[in-house]
Amino acid sequence: MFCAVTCKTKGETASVPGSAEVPRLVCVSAEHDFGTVRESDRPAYAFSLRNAGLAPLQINKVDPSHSCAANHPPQRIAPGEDATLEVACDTEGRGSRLVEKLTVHSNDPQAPALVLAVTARIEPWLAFESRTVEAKAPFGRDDSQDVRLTGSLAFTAHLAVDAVEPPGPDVKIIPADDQKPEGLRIMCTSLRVARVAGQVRVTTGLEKPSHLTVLYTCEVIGNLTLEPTNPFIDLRAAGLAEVAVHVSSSRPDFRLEQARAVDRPFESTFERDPNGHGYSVRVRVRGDQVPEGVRGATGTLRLVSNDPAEPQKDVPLMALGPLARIEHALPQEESTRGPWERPSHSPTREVDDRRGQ
Amino acid sequence: MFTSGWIGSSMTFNLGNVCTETNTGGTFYGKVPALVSYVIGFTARDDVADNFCLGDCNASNAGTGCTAAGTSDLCTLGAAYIRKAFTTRILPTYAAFAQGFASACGTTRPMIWEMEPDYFQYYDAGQSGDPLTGAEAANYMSQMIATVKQYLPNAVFSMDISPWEPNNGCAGNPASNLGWYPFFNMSEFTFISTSGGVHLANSQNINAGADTWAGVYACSGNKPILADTGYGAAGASSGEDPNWDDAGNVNQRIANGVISITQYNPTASTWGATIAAARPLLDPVSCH
Repeated sequence: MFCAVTCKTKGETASVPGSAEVPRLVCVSAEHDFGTVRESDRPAYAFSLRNAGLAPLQINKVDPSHSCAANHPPQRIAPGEDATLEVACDTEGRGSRLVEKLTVHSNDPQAPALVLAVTARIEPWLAFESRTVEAKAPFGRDDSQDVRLTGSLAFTAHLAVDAVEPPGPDVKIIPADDQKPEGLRIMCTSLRVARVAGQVRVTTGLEKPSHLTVLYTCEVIGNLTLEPTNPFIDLRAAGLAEVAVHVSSSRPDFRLEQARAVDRPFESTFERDPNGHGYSVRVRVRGDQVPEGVRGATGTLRLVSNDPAEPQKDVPLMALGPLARIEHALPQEESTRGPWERPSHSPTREVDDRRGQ
Repeated sequence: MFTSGWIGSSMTFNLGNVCTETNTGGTFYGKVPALVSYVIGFTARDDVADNFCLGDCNASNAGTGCTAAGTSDLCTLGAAYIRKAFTTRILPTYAAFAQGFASACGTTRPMIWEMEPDYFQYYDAGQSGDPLTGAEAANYMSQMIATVKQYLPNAVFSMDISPWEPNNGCAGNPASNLGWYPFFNMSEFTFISTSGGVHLANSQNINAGADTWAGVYACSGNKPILADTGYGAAGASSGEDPNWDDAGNVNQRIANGVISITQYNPTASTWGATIAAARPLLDPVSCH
């Protein structure tokens, strides 16, 4: 699939039906797998090219890839002649796999751009055994996860924490023992219910690689469940411009004490869910608190409860639509206006003025 | 809402016009800006220092000054680029735009960030270089969102629908499929959104693939869908799609979870009338 022209075994004559005296670039193979190489190695491979046409072949240029480039590519191949194109690749800092494509531009009218593909599996000198560390614990309990070094320099490196961004988990160096190289212990403390993602950057004490990074995620799980988690209100539906949020808890003694929309134009009420455990919180938009012409609002629903993990929980609210035509989201007023009726002053033209890309 | 700009075409804030136009007295006063945040895609085009010159997978649009232009793309090396440039180019660009919007628009008006179109491609097995793991993809996404919210507490976020993700993004089918949405902290997102490609108004399927509107709605945890339609590869306009003007089609998509439609530069002379005619026929959105 990578070969833009028909691949031929070396020495095989290619014919181009209907072609006059034109050059024709063919390859023995347009793909090469280096197998496993060590990081910082510079593997090279000579692709065999052949001009199977009847006119001189000009190689105009070879586009390099991110990691690979051609060394002194041939400029001209006579009809029937072979040539080699050596490709060499950098492997430092390339991760664990190399997949590269180079493009050979020539005067072959049938296939002016021949794509050469090279692959390799890279064995790093030094890396963490995992790129991510995920700690997860219920509120009130701490969790820690270890990640060790791997690679042939693993027992040579000496780690030091350079930065934890954003700050949060406590990070300690795990010393090496007879069996295992140094590593990191990432300890997440359950100070609040949240999921925080970031990265830990360490120095290695080596010239190369001088730094390594591991991603961390600390998740502290609470007791409350909200459905939906991100309440959305469609303001087009004047009589229905509200959303019901079901709030429940894994604790049997859960009691919701307040459910208050903090920001205008939202308002809320709540009641025990008659169909099951938990509470039903209804959030509405007050049209009379919305500036004319404004078509969206964000706000916060603040839940206050006896939950020890989240005694106060803020929930983001979002409303979208032609809000100005809603006078007030109360049932008796809803019946006086059709749900899609628009006031004459509302804009009717919506414009998608996409820019970029 | 209206799609008002693409974030990332520059590493410094260049979308002040969005605020000018939506501020009091502006042409689009009151509308909610929906911004396509394509920071990874844009900044990968011209990372000359690290020799990353990654165009879109279906367009030759690597940046200028790139010696490797045209041979590598986001499908191949996007994950490698993210790992290399996350703290040096990607997060700083997010911070620059969040600060810019906070300064120009303020921090109270709603603003939607449609995060990283085609983000699934960096995790997809088709990412032949060395794809992100699901945990990596989720971690990077959370960091990008946290960076924006640090400066823009009023921003809400939409996760991209990559409609070629298997099984609508749910785990399973086959059993080895870990899914896509399960990796993410979905409470960070208010919406999910399509981006690029032609998306179908008159079909249960989002495009020619197997994923459906209703399927991604369910698999994302019933996130309302912003259907960003009407353009193809490299952001080229495919014009107004009359199928999305049809109230019958739109009502079927509303039933599937769609709550918003964006058309790319519709016919200016008739667009107002088109919307006015369709709007009374539309069903209300029921979010649960």
